[in-house]
Amino acid sequence: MGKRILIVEDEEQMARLLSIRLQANGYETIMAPDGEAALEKIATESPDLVLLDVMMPKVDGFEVLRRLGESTPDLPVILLTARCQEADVVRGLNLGAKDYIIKPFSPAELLSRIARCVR
Amino acid sequence: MHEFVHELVLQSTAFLSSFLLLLVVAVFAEKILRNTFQRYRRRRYHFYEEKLLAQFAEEPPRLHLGPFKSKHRRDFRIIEQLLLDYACQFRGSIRKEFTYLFEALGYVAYEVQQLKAWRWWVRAQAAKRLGEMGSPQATIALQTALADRNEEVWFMAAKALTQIDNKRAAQPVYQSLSQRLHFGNVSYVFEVVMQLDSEGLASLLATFPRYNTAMQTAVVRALGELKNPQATPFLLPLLADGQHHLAKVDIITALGRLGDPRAIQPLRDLLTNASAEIRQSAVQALGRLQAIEVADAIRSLLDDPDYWVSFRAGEALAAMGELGRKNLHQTLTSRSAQASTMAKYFLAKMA
Repeated sequence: MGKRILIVEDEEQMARLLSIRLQANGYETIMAPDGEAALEKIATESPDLVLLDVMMPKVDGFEVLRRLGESTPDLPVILLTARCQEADVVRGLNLGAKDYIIKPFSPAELLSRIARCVR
Repeated sequence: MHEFVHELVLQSTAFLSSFLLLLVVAVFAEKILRNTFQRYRRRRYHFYEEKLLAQFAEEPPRLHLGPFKSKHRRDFRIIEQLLLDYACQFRGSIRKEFTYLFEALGYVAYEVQQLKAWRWWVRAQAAKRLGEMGSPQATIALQTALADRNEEVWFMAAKALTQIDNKRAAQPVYQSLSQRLHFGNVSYVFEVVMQLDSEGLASLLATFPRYNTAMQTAVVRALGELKNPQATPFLLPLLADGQHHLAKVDIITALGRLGDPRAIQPLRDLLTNASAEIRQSAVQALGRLQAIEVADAIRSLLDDPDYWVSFRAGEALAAMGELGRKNLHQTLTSRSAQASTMAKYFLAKMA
């Protein structure tokens, strides 16, 4: 069975795209539309990696990262961020994110970064 | 007479009632038609979306023309919107495949035609879409659109040219900035500059001396936001140039934002400038640069006759951490009441 990846993304189109591309490469995917749902899924589904959008309603990506740092610090997290939010990348990496992907993204780059993190 | 008035009232009431009834029917009919069209649009959008997503499920993903060659003319714009929605999510080879789809399905040619529409918003939308499609085939049409009198069209065309997969496509954008004497929306210039890569930046700065002051100010502000230290060598000579006096504060602020230590010494020289506004922005920029090597010079401004210069000096020292704290401590015993009060305030803030 493939590694399980949690996609935390509020834009449905983006989430579906990521999910389809990851499934085509043998990963199992779970989706969460916001931070609150993500924390629930992490507790119940124990994913191997989290793809986390920074800008989200309710609980944002940074809050999720902070809470993950307390509860499951070993769970690798890759941030999804827009080009103009590079300051957010620094903040996210300081909070314990393993890597980041800038949107718009290249599927090949995304897959190689994921593979490196779950290896 | 009485009967005539009565008849007139009756007829007017009947006319008004039928008019109102017609109006209500027309409003309802319009609503029903619009809902039906929207439902159709949504259904067709999802229909084509499933076909597109199925192509992404392949490994490697390949975009085929087949599913999008619709027999229905009314689906033309629906497919265009769908492909644009997905194209903007990607970089790299898949993005190029989307561009190929736009070209092969005739969307680039269609939007190039729309650039000649008489309604400005249609031209602006066409330029925007061509930018999102990223096709080099639209380069000449978009470059021509830079001469459009409408600012929105100019902006969309300029932005589109920076999105096209051809480095040279955007060159005329910087030239056209120097030809625009009255530019209402500075944020447009700002957004175009924010799209630049290193090569674009060099072209922009090469044409910079030809811009008018308002345009230069807009560009300088955007350069500061861009935080690309490559701009520093171009901005430093402007500090000494008298003709750029109006934009000087913006240049100083931009230098502070760029985060390049090469700006420290020239900014330090401005701390003794006759203009309080320039001293204030220089000390603020040095604070942003965390210029600990000029902390002494900043400390001396705590006693500046201008309150805001003194305040910004305190703020800059407070941003420098331990060294700043040391300088503020030394000022506590200063003879100047203003300097010691300011030092006390910022030390309390740091604690």
